[in-house]
Amino acid sequence: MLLQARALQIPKSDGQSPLPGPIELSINAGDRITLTGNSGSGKSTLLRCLAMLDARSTGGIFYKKNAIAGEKVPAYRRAVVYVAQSPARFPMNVDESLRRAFSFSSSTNTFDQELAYSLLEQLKLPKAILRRPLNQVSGGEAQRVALIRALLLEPTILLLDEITSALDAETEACVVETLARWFDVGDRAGIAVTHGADIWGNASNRRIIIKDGQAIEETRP
Amino acid sequence: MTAIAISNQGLAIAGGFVIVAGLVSFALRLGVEKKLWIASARTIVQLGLLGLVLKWVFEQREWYLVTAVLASMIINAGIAAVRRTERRFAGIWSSGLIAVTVSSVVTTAVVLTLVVNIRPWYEPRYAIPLLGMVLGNTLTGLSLCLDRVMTDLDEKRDQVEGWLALGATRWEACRPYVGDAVRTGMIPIVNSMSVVGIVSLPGMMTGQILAGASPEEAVRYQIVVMFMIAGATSLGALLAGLLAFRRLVTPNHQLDHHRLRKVE
Repeated sequence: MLLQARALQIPKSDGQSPLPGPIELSINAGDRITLTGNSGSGKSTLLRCLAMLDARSTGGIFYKKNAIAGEKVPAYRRAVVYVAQSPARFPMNVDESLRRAFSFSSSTNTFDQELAYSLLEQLKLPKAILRRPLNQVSGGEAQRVALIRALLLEPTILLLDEITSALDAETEACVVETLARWFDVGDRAGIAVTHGADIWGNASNRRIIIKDGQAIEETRP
Repeated sequence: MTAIAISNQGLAIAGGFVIVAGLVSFALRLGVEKKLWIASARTIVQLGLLGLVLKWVFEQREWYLVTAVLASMIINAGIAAVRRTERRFAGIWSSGLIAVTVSSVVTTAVVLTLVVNIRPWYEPRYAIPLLGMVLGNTLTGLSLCLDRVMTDLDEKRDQVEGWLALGATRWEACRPYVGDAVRTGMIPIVNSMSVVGIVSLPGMMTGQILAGASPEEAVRYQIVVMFMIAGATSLGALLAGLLAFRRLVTPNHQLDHHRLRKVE
């Protein structure tokens, strides 16, 4: 088991909770999980809680059987990377935004220029985009740049929040292919909120539905 | 040589300026007459009371009285600095007060004991105006910094969380915004240091010259005061920024923007 969430929830405030829970979830190596649910059901919130980005959440996150808290959090987030639907437009150019994470103290690897070029090519982005300011690229370009930023960290688990929502079908297919390649290396896992097309390219092995704040595992017939 | 005393008649003539201001407001229907009368009355009452208190404290020259006056000045400044901001978080008042206290007390103490070298240190004629000047001039920088750090951490939280999600520590993710806020807080004093004496004649120097001090002497004091304000502003802004940062991020390296709320 790679990742385990125990009694994950956001306590009520003002009588409401974006994720009532409690949610029990285990992610194993090789899992390609599709996360669905009505809008507002808490899919994004669950992914953010798994990345420990929501300060209101309670419960335990265990990565490779270690409880994650405090000083362990930054290194955990490098192994379990959350990619947002609308990536932040950092005030710098694309190249700098790809390199910055390697200056963090939690960094264990160095920026791989060849890997960056190869990912740009796979995702149909020209090298010239590297010099453009991040706040001047299109929504679809920003989504792909954010995915590259995550993949350069060589994470073990990806938490993907509708990362192809601004892409056309052809480009989306490139993302599916890139993710499939990433999966080929070692014991990796992913959980993705998708709209429409299957980001795991028919290789999804689990399907989880968020309903009434609960995570319901759909068993295949 | 001392300044020429202003008679009651002289004060009344100066009051004519307020009437001119009131007439302008009336003629152009600006509707600020009432506010103007109240503000003018406040000026007379507040400064009158201050004059009485200072006169008494100057006569008594007791360390505890001076300390009480200094403490109330600091508390007022701390409250005023926070009041000017548009957002609040639990602990903002104590954060503002700590920043104001540390920055103003450290700089004023150094100037009183090492620069002016006054004995005793609580000599009210020096301690009260020097602290007052530091407080009055660091207030803006401090509240600008506090406001900026809260605005950025709230409105640019997608960026902060973007870096956190890529393994940044809370400080690595927030440092650019805390730094920007401190810089914003320092801009007013840097600007006024670069134009002082050219486009502005500082009030303190003017006062000393009116009171009969030689311009060279007044200039020396003014330089010390400008440097004091610069030091206190940077220290106060840095403290305010860091304290706000500590309150708004958790030990689990999360940005808790829910702790921020806008003031209506």
